[in-house]
Amino acid sequence: MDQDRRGFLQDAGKFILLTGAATLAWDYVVAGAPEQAPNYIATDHWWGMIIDIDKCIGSGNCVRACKAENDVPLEDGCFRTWVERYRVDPYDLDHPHVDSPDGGYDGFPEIDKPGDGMKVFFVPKLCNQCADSPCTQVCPVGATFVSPDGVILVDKSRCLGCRYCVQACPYGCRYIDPRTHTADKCTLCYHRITKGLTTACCETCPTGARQLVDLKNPKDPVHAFIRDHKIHVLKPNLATGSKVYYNGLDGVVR
Amino acid sequence: MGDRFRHARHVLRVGAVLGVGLVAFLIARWALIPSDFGVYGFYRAGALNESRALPIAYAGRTACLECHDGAYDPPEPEDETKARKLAVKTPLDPAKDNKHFRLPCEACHEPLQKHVDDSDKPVLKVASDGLCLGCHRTLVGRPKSQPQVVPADHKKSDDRTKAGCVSCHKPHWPKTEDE
Repeated sequence: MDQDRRGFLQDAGKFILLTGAATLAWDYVVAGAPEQAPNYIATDHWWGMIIDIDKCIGSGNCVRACKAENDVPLEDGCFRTWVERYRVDPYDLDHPHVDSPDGGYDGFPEIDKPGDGMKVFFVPKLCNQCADSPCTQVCPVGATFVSPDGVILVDKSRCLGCRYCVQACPYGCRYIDPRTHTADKCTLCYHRITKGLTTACCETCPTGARQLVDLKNPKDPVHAFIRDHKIHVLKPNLATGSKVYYNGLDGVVR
Repeated sequence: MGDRFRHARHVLRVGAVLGVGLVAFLIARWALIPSDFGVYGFYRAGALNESRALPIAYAGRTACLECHDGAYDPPEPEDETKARKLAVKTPLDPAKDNKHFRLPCEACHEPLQKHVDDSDKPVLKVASDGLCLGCHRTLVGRPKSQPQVVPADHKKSDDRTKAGCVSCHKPHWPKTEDE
């Protein structure tokens, strides 16, 4: 074992001062990359997402990746993320036509011809990871909750399948897993983001329209992005504290 | 004396019933509520680690590039004349000249964590026109910055069109040699 006295004293000093877990992380913190440390401290993060409408091409990559990563049933209505296509007549803004065939899993069929005069755009949707989430407040058994890093999770072993949370979510982001009859939803790929990876949908987005962000990380580009762009969240009137920030979101989107 | 406590039995009986009820409640509570419930909030703390422990399917572009770091380099020219033509334009910078440089590997190849864990696991070669058109078919609503084609109108020569998109456009360097 090649350890001199100085090295031993340094290690021992660190261990006594910092205790076990922090010792492991210390080298990464000094190197300026605390997020790569092997131990993950949930309270150091506050996860959210940026979605840039102007970049979304409606390829459906995110929908397919989400289903593959998270073992989401292919059945109708089971989506953790999906893409909606809005077709708006500029002279009838109150009645947009929205379609989302299989959630956009196989892309979108051609409906409009170029020059038809319709305004068409794609809106990817997912759980908004609300800071004041309506869905967790109604769970009678504590099966769904906000994690210390701001992700809404479901504890399948406690869920009774009462569907109260499915009704409470104003964004329609929850479904009942037909195999287990428990509630299920986007976990923001909690098993990935806690290991330093990005979510499956962000990973496979061909245009970078979706970006995972950590609002507690001062180096995260999200802070500049929110300052420099006109940002909107879905249904701000409900005060859910949504952490999915849309850039270029049209007012007709519900 | 006896008169003063003649009703004590009623009180004791009620007390016993309440006591049994309390014990039953405590036992039921102990049995039904997991020990880690309520550590962080009104939920089971262990559920956090269970959510973290799920298997990963998509390895991520960074993991791919650890071994395949030349994946986005300019393609080898097919014949000498093209080689000369290409040399005039060099040096080519993948980050600037390769339109697919920022494209994540697993957007086209399947999820590849299994391949990262065990490199013997094969990587799917994907070269179907359907895959290309998933992003590049002309569709109203796609941003103008996205290159889009109407397959029927997008022909250079019939032979090559029949052979599919990749006969002209290399997926890892989509700009054709003529462009």
